[in-house]
Amino acid sequence: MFSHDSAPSLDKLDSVIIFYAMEEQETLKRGRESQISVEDAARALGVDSFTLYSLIQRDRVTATRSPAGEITIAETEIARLTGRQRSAAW
Amino acid sequence: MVRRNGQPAEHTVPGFAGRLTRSELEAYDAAFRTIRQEFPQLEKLQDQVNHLGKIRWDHPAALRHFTSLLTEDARWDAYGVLLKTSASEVLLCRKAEGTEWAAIQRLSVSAPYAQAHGATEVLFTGNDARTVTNEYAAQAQHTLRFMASNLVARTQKIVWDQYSHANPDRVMRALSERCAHVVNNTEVVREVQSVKESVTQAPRQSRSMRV
Repeated sequence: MFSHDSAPSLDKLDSVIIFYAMEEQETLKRGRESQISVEDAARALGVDSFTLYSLIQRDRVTATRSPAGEITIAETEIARLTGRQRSAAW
Repeated sequence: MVRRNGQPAEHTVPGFAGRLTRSELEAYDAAFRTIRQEFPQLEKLQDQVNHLGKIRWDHPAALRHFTSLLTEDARWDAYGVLLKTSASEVLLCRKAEGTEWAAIQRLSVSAPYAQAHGATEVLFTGNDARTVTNEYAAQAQHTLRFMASNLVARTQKIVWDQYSHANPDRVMRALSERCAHVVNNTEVVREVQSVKESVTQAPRQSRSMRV
């Protein structure tokens, strides 16, 4: 049984849960939006597509496959590879 | 003449033995447009890789020193270009002081990736030029297949999302066989088949990959 005093803390807990749920949704949204194609990634890195494919094969670059099977690279990975901060504009 | 969905299958496309109907051809053309820029690059790179298998190692001109380059720990003399792309080249090199051979990748020094990781990288080394060349040719071929399968995967979305009425299975077969034909390989077709299954059956979720 909850005392009367505990009611406000439950409200707080609800708020925290909602806040984290919203944060997670935002993260997922950002994650989906931040994937770019091999060609765009190659341009950002200053290499050609073939070189980037070989870097992926050699585990120098981390890539992801979309549900359709297309290889994509996260923008954060590009930032890491070029030594730029996450806040850098791409 | 064979007819599908009321249309005669009368159109031929490169690298595919079968014929397509007008609707199938429209789907094929729309999908191919998305990879049209990369496709000639794939063909040119495959030509270069094919050339590596034709080097006459008994001919004196096969190996001629033409430049030198430095890596972190050694100086190398370059004797040949194994592969040249629009923004990099892979050179066949011998250690200036030693007998070791290597395939060395050289990027443009102005490339952001090169600025962070260095413009040259020893891909692998070997005891003789021929072994290193053959090993590089095999590796480059593997990369070309990877590239081809990704080009096909890109067309996949267009065909299945926008032309699901136009016999997408057959259209994808024509596209994947065209790409596979360029890279002398049937693996691309098989890989695309498995990707198609994942597109039509699996939940929509991205996954990290290891090639």
